[in-house]
Amino acid sequence: MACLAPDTVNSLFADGVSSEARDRVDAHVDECPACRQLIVAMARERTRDGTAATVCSTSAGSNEQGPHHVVLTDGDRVGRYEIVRFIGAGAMGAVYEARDPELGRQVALKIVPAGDGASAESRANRLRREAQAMAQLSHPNIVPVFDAGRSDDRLFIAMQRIAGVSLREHLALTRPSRAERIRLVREAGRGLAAAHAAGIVHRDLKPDNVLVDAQGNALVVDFGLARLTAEPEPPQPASPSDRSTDDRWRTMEGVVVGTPAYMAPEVVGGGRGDAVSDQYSFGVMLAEACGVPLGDERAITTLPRRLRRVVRRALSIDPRHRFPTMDALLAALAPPRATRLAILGVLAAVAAGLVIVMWPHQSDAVAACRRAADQHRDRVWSAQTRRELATHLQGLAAPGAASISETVLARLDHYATDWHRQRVEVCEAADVRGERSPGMRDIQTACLDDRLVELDVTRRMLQALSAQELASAPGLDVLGDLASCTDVRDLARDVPADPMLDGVARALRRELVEANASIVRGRIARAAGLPDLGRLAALHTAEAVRTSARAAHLPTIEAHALRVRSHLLDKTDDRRATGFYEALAIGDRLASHGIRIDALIGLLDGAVTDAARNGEVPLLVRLIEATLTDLPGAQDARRARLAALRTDYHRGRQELAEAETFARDAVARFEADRGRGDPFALNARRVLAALLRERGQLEEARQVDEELLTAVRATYGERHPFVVVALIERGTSLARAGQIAEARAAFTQALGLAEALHGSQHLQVAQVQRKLGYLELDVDARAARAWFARALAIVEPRGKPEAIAPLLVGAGEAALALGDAPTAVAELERGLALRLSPKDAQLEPPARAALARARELLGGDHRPAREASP
Amino acid sequence: MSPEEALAAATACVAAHPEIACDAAALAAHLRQHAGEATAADLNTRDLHLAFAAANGDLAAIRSFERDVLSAARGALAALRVDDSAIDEIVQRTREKLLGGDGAPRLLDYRGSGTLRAWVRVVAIREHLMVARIQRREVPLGDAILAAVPDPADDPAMLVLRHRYRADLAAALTTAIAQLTARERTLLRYSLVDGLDLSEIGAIYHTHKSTISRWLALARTNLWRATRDALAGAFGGEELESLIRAVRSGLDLSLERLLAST
Repeated sequence: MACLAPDTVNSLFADGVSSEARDRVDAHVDECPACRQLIVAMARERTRDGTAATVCSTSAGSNEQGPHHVVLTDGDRVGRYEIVRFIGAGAMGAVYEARDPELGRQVALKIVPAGDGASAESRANRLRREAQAMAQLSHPNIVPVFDAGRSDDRLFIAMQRIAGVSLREHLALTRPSRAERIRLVREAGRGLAAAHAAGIVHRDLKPDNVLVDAQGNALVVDFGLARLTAEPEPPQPASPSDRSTDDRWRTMEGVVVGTPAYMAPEVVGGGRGDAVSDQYSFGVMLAEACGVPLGDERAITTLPRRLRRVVRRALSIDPRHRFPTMDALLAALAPPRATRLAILGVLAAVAAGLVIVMWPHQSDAVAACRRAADQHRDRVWSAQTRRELATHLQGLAAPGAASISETVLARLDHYATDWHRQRVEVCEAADVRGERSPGMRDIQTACLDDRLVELDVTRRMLQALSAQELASAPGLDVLGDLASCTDVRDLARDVPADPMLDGVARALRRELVEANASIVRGRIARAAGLPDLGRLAALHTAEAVRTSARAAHLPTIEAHALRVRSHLLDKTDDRRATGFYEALAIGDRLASHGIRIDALIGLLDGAVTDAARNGEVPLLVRLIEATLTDLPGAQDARRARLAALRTDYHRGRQELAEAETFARDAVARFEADRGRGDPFALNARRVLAALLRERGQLEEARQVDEELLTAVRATYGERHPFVVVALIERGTSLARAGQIAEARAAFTQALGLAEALHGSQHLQVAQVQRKLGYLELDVDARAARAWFARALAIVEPRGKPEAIAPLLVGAGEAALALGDAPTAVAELERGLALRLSPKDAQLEPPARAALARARELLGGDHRPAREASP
Repeated sequence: MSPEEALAAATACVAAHPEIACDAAALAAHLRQHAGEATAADLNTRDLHLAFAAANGDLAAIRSFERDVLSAARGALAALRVDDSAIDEIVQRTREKLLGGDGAPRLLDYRGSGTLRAWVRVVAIREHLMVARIQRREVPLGDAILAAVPDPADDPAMLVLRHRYRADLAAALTTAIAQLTARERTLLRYSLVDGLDLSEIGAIYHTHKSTISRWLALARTNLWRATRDALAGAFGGEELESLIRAVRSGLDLSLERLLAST
């Protein structure tokens, strides 16, 4: 039975579905857990976003509202507490003054409805846990919590009774100076920082949750409470210009805890909220306290510079752009006078010979740099994620899984270590040594954070790899070039003119990394014989990013998207070259060498492949080389690509000496960039061996092939498809050198391994059989004929003409050698009619000669039914 | 839907959204293919237009699809407390499936009877479940029923009984479950296997939770009657009878708790 259609599932939750239709759904769901779970998920999602709740309460009447609306009166007991009087009501519930008879003290008792369902108990437990954590915390800027628990259908929190008003009321009533406002908000910030240090997150920080007592101290209240109630507060009244907050509120679908105007975007988007999202709320509160109307981002510009910078950073759309901790934010908010005093203090200390005094400050900053780098890295590549990946990869039932996973993990480790080092270095250069401006630090940090996204995407991709995929295409990743983050000049161009576009730029860049991952995923799938869904997805994404980037005037991203798109397009597609030219134009306009060179390499690729455009090659090469010298670092990745393309170019023109030079260069560069065992490096080595054979330097070719085999075995172990490839290489070189017996041994070994790895019907098996067939052609025609027949049995049903043609030609030649002229003519004609691919072009002349001879043998009067195409 | 009506509807859509490049004749054919008896007024032609154009690779349509439709799916996943990183993955899978990797784009299956957002939301949630199910095994209803009954820690004799007759009890439950109606089984699964509360089940049947509560009570009664019949046929005996009573009261208690809490 087919699964339920989306429309059917949706209709369940609406009126007007016949009972027969519902019976049909139940009958299906009874047998189909997948559809039932879908409905369950929809039901959860809907009741949480309130749709179904409305359905129920309209028919249920007001007594469904629950006991928390029943106002408690004097003498009522909640847990062990006796209610004294009602103080006030908020979104969370009611607050009462109460007496604790056991300890004989007055407390403030906050009552929260326990809520519906089986979750009530777990919420009560969570509340208790949070209260316990809070009870451990003693800080002058946090309202002390004594106790929490559940009584009947109420959750309660007992805390110290503070005689005071909320910060919102305090500001409205007393209209203090800006300095005083900042002082109060900073005090609240200190309380928040202390809670964060204890691992407690507020999740609903706003002026209503900060109390100002009679002595003028600010105290934060209601930590973590937001999570306990499923009822979001109505949006705060916002000014008409406040479009963004308003929209955010409206697009929310699920449970939203907190107050929209103060909520960090990642929380609005459905995130859980953490210390860094608290920081956002703090930023909103700070700005508001300083006179910025809620949501009016433009008004932030009216703040003094230091304050503006702190608010801007706290309000970064991307959490990673905010301060690493509340402490860092408060330090940045500290009045400049304090800094000056600190410097004077240090100078005085130096004068007094107490240089040591300075150390604690500096090592604090050093530690902060390390901590920030640790935290960021650990979000993506922690001991745990690493372990998970290792377990996944090693657990795959693929040949060589253990050694491949070792190589992959080593590469990711290496990348993570390099990343960490650079991240610390950038931070220390700015924050410890003062060699770099904070602005530059932020730009470089943002670049490094993008590289970390690549690590993240790579990790997730590998974590989802199947055994089949691992066996076919290991070592593929979307890791970028960390060195690119050191090119300060290029990076500075990346910064959007409008800081509000920062988040957009970041999202688009992430999309592009995802597009690259789609491409790699597709490539892996293709190699494993599965459909490639990635290419089209990547093409769509790249196109969408390109358009958005253009609209938002983010030229570097537009160029990057153009390049990704062009690489995905067919080499015959006109838009491919056009895209590269457009990217080149952007690079010229921005004077960005990185963009220019990548566009030029794309163009070179097309010019090398397309014979009609071969003439452009020398000019492009010269442009690329000139640009490369302007870029910092060794640029191994780009130079390797260049060398590989130049190899192809000269090989195509039969300029084999030049081709060999570049092939050697490509091998060296790929190995320097990605290590010896990397598929790109290995392939470069294969190309070199083939070239050496073409040049007749057979001894050297053999040597390169032995190195290839050693490198493959060292990286992937003994049982891996790459070993088959390397053994075929070895056999090919041996055969060219006339060492037939040794070549046969290599091929036979390759065949045995291929069959053991993939079974006897795999294309790689046919590939070895073809090699054996051609090897035997001049030695033992009968054996050759048998090999071709076996290979054809594998390849023919799959109908790839360029794979079938050489086998038919071989079989025909073998038949001729055995004196079977009719078969020879038939198979040679068929083979030549299918057309040999360019890389098998060398087979054509002997095949034509064989066909002529076979026809001669059949008798001069024989006319082929249909002339084979030339 | 007549060809003329389809063409008129398609032309209106295309004219209303000049930013989307779309062939009105092709869209009309698409509308007709999905319309059946329905008229243009019954269908969500605007969404059909968007889905059709996006499936055919129009970039403006794909952008609008990403912005207005996939983002809703994102919100739905977030509401289900799906991890941020997992959401990205699921949305990507949904995107690939709907826009077509190598097969036909599934967006073309959208028939226009609800909104496209709602439709895509279901596809995304299904995708999420497919990903999540790799880790989650379906619990048979019988096991869930037995698991819902706590071991009587304070009654060693009952513990021994339960242990001794576990297999018989499980077999009888399986037989009894098979005799329930599909709806009864589904209701029990919703509550015991999936842990939905009465409001949530009520949402599925668009019925008030007190009705659901009655249905569940009936299902329970039928379940125990059938269980007792199944066991009586095989064993009978006082011990067994007391065991069933104990298990039944345990289950009733845990179901009762569920009903009472809502």
